[in-house]
Amino acid sequence: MHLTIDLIIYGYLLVCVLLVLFNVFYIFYSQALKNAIAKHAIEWERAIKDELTHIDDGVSGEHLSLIQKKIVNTNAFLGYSRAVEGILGSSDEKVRTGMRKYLDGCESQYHRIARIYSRRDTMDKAFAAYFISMTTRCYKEEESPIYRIMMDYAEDSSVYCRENLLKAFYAFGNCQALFNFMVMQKDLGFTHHKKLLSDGLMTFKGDKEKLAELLWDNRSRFSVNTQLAIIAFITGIQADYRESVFAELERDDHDEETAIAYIRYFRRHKYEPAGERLREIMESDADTNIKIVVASVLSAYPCRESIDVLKKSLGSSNWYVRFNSANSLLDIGLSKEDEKSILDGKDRYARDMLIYAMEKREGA
Amino acid sequence: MPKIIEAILAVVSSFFTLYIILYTTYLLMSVLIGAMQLYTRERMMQVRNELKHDYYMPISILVPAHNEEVTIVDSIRSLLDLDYKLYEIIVVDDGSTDNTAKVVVDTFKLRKVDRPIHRRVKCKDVKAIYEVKVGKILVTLITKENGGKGDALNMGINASQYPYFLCMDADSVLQTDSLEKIMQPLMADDNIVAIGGLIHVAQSVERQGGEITGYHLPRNVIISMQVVEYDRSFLASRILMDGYNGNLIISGAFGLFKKATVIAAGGYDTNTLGEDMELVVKLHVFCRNNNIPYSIRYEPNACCWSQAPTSFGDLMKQRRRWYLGLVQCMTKYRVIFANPRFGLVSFVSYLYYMLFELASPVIECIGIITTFIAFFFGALNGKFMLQFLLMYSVYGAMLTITAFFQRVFTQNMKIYPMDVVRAVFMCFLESVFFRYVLSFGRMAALVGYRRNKNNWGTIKRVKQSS
Repeated sequence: MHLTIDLIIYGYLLVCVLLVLFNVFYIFYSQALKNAIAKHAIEWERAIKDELTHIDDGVSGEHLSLIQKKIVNTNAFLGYSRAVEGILGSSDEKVRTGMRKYLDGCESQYHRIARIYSRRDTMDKAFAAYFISMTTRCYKEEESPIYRIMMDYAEDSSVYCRENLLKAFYAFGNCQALFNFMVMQKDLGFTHHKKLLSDGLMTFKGDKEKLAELLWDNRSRFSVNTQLAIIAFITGIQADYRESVFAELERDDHDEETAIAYIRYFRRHKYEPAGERLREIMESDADTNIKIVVASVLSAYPCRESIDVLKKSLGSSNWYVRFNSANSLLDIGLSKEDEKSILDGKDRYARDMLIYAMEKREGA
Repeated sequence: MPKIIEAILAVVSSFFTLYIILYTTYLLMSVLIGAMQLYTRERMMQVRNELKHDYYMPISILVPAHNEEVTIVDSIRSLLDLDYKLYEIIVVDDGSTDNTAKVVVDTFKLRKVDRPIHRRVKCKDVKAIYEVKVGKILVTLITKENGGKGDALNMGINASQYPYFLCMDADSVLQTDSLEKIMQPLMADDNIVAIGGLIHVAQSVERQGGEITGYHLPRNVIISMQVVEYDRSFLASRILMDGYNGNLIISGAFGLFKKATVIAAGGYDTNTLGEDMELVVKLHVFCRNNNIPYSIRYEPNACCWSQAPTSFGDLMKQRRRWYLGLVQCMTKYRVIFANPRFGLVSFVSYLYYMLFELASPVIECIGIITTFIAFFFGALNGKFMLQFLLMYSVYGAMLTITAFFQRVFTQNMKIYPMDVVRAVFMCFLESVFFRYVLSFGRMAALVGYRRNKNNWGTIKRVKQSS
């Protein structure tokens, strides 16, 4: 028995010692790696700055060969990326202009590297996609082989890789390429957080209105999650979708989140028929979560009808409906009579909420 | 020796062999997987595998405070310095008998408001509400009748305006990027209902606001041992359980929750000493019972610095409370035990807490009694016992050392050579001595369960360095 226990104890201790050794080894290895990357970055920075001195003649063949030879190694690539990022962030306009020429000169080399990294693991692929998103020029209508390469990355990818790929497609500025990529993601069964997607779409470097049109016209091809991002995107841009969004608002077969997204659209894009519809919703037996948003959006439709509806909703049993109604009423501007009718009224909840909203503004 | 004693000793020794094998295997697996995960994450950061975003979801920070006049102002100041676009701070003064509310009102010039509170979860009555806007951040102070930490947090939930809330202790300090880091997993997984962050001992750092400027292992042995103990717990065990969505605890000192889900589950339990664990276990049960897809995550890159008890008495009070909270939670949610519906949450997490945390005082008691019996009947091999104890302690210490240095390394902390020596020594001391002292504390808590099951106890607070 003792022998068995001894064996177990010594066995475990041995594993434990190996674990400590592994950690010690890893700490030293990792530190050496960090130093190597920092060294690569310094060397690359020097090499790129040399190229910038004669950038009007193009990037030298020697430098391009060096890129091709070295950055197939991820750590060298990391160093190169840091150097590029550092110079791109320079406050000197002349350096930045030179850098743009430099990056354009390296374009074909980057595409070659991107192709090589498409065979790497998802972590490396994500990094290559990040690098491409940082260095690419905006192609707009132009076709480029990089679209296909980046599309290939999406298969067997992580959420981080897909986010970096999306960043690359925003930077390419080509509407059709981004659209194709989004469709492919959907076909592969990937969903991306709607907030990442909608905020990302706003950074699109190409023609945003054209992209909005393409996405809006084909919205039914996407999941509800992506549709919400598309609605947030068209809400954020100037283009006029009021009529078609209004047509959607009139339908009552949308899920709650989508309906709320349509309602929010009309806060920024004022449309009188929508104001009327919002007031109808407020007086209907619509879901409370929808009424909460409508109570807030109605502040964008200042008229007698809106005031009357909001005054009524100040008596809602839901705290948020009352809170948003009170704020909307104050945004619209209450007349003395309206204010008095609420403050002297019988509804204690309505009165308390209005007083609270008024105090909050006084204190701000 | 009577046959019956011989049989009992054989059974007990087999049980303990199995018990220790299970425990050491768990420790080993957790440290190993924790190490791998931390290194992978570090590499991921290096190669830009992160969901960095300019704007995440807004957060309500809830700070329950009971007699925290010494620390509350510093805590609020540090919260006002966080690197995050949109958040509010809600301090809930839970019937303090000192000047907690007064110092907050006076320092930040809060003014009384007549604000209605939307009661969605149960809590005691409001006494007064104060507000002020500091820059873009709304600071709210709610004074209420004393109802315990869970009750104060429920009040904070009721008063919060954003869809996610972060609970923390009044004596804790968040690292400036902690809100961003704790929100990042949400961008990858929409089903997350709760995320826990990494807790460090505040007394081991020098800081300027929420930025860490220096690191030293405290001279106080009680605090130092907690430093290494926290590292083993937060950098090993929780990462392992995170791997299968099985964490049963998110520390009350730093956790982010989806408000709608917490409200639907009924908010914090106000009659427990372990409201943080109770909420997390409740969320597991609630989501599984209602077939809601969910994940409860742990994010070691999101850091919070929390004050550890400085004296032995305070430490014992804290651990007694933790243990009683564990007892209450484990018994309340015994439905999880050996229940296939809960998968690994039942068969690994719950079982772990049951065997190695909940039952450990009883098992240790049996061990001590058996040792005496064996000694009495001359069946004790003293040399082997000491050898065994020493080996076991060395083993534990080595794993703690691994976890400690992993943390120091992955967080790029500069540590002085003298601190390295002290850390190694503390890891051994923790394993050889501290662990057994804590076991004794748990045993004492179990004995006094009926008397202390509703008693939080008070711990002395000291002003944090800044």
